[in-house]
Amino acid sequence: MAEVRLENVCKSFGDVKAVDNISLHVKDGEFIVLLGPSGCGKTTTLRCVAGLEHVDEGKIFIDEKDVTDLPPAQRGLSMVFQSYAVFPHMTVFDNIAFGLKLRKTPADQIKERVKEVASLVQIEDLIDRYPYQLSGGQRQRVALARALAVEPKVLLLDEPLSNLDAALRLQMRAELKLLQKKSKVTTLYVTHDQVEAMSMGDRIAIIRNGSLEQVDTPERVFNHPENTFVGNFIGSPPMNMLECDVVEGGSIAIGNFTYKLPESVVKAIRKTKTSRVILGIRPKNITITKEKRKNAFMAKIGVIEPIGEELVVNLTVDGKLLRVIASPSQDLRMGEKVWLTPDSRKIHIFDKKTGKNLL
Amino acid sequence: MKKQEVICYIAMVIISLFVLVPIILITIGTFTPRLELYKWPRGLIPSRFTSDSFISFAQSYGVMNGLKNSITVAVLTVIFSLLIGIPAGYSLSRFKFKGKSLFTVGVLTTRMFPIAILAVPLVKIYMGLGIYDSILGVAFIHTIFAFPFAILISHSIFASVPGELEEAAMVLGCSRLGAFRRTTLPLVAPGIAAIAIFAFIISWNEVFAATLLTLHNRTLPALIVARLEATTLDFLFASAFFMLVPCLVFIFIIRKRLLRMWGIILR
Repeated sequence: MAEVRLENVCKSFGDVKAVDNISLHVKDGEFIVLLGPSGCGKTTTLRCVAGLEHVDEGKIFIDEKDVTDLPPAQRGLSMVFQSYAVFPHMTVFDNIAFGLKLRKTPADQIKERVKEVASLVQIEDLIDRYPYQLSGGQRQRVALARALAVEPKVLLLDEPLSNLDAALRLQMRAELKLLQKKSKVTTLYVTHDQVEAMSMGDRIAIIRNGSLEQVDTPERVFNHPENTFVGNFIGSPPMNMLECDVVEGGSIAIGNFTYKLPESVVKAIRKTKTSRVILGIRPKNITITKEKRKNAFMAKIGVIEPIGEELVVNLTVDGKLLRVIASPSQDLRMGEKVWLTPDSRKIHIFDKKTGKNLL
Repeated sequence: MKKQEVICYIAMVIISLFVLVPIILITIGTFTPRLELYKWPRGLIPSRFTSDSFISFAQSYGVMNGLKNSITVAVLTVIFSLLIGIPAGYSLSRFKFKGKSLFTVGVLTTRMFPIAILAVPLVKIYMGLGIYDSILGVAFIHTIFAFPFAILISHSIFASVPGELEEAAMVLGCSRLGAFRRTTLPLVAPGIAAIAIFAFIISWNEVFAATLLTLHNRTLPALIVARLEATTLDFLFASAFFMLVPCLVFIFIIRKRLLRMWGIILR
């Protein structure tokens, strides 16, 4: 078991800065998820930790040992690739035993250990098969077993579930999390799927354009996004973002309406002396009413999308699109004018210029 | 059967006959008694089969030496082609570098010039280098013929093996070379065998350059070509058969294994 520390790691490909000054401290036994849109540098970051990419600048430590210049073999970690990279010319047994053989483990111990991890990922019946005789999910388990067999200090997972179908992905998600909790191996998990990240990670590191945007628990990332990007990226449908002017008396202007902000928010805005802010509010935290309420603003209903137990109501406010999650029991019609009341405890105010959360 | 299938079968039969008929005729001719070859009219099946022509061909002057030369040249060609082809093909499939596409095209341009155009300069250069009329010299020119294919085929073979296999092996404890040896190499082995056979056959069949660049140390085809005009039918049949057999044997041995191993890689 080990902790992993990245210090100001940079990696460029030509003119493209894939990893731009990332510092990250992964605690012993922690499950950390690197989350970001495709091409944001999360996989490159993982490959730098693995040693498959040599960093341009910065240092990487595993258990206080500087591994920046060590080849992958000497870093004591394991990796599961997006394509699984199961060796096609070896049986499942040989695949799992691969790392152990390299470590010159005695044959009887190899047998035992392979059996152990194979049963851990539930493939003990497939041990004599070749990869081409396995389904995608089974290959995934082989890759996982192979990675776990060597008892790595750190486990790296690169979008391991993205090639599986939806039902299997859901099942593997839970299994993986359980497996990690049982084995207590420090885990870095790369994904672009925010649901995966939220459900699996102890902490989530959100990456954009090679930089860390926020590293926090799923709860914090969801409820206290540090900037507009995180707010937008996490949650589905995404957080509503309304650009507004700050008006005198602790209010903001939304179209022709003024929305009175709580005192604490007003204080925070005053400190920065900014006059233009972005109001962020999650679709769940807005109430739709047909009659006028205090501190509400008017909007026109556009398309209504039923998503099972709830409705996603698209509305326009001052020409801007807003999404609100409402109950189907509310008799809402397209084209109808309604009143929106944001939950004042759940609002976020971002600085227009920097995108930073002011609260 | 569908119409398409019928056409397909007819085409296959025609192509097979096109290849097989000469091979069968050569084989029969080789084992026909010498005198019967000159009979007219003559039946397709001889009165008896004999290996007289074959033995006398094998024993005729220079043939064994030519065979030895041919094999040496072909083996050298295989070695040189693999030495150039494997690293080049590997680099092309795994790394990005400047001038990559130019290189690929450049490799093919070596086949742009017919050997007839190069004949005189080649002889002059070879004489200058002191490798005229030598086994090594012929092996060099055969390598020139074979290596573009070696590079291009090995490129596509390596490209079919995901680089992540090597990376996975490296993470699990292999050095770069060890990872190549344990993952990629076993997977490309049949492909490399195919390249080797291909290079061998290119060299084995090559006549013109071998004739041009040697006087005494002739390879077998060069020797046979030199004697073509002033020789007997039985010698012709026997030599044709002799040249043919290694190619056929090689392809038959390797065919099944090639298909099976590639089947695994492609999955």
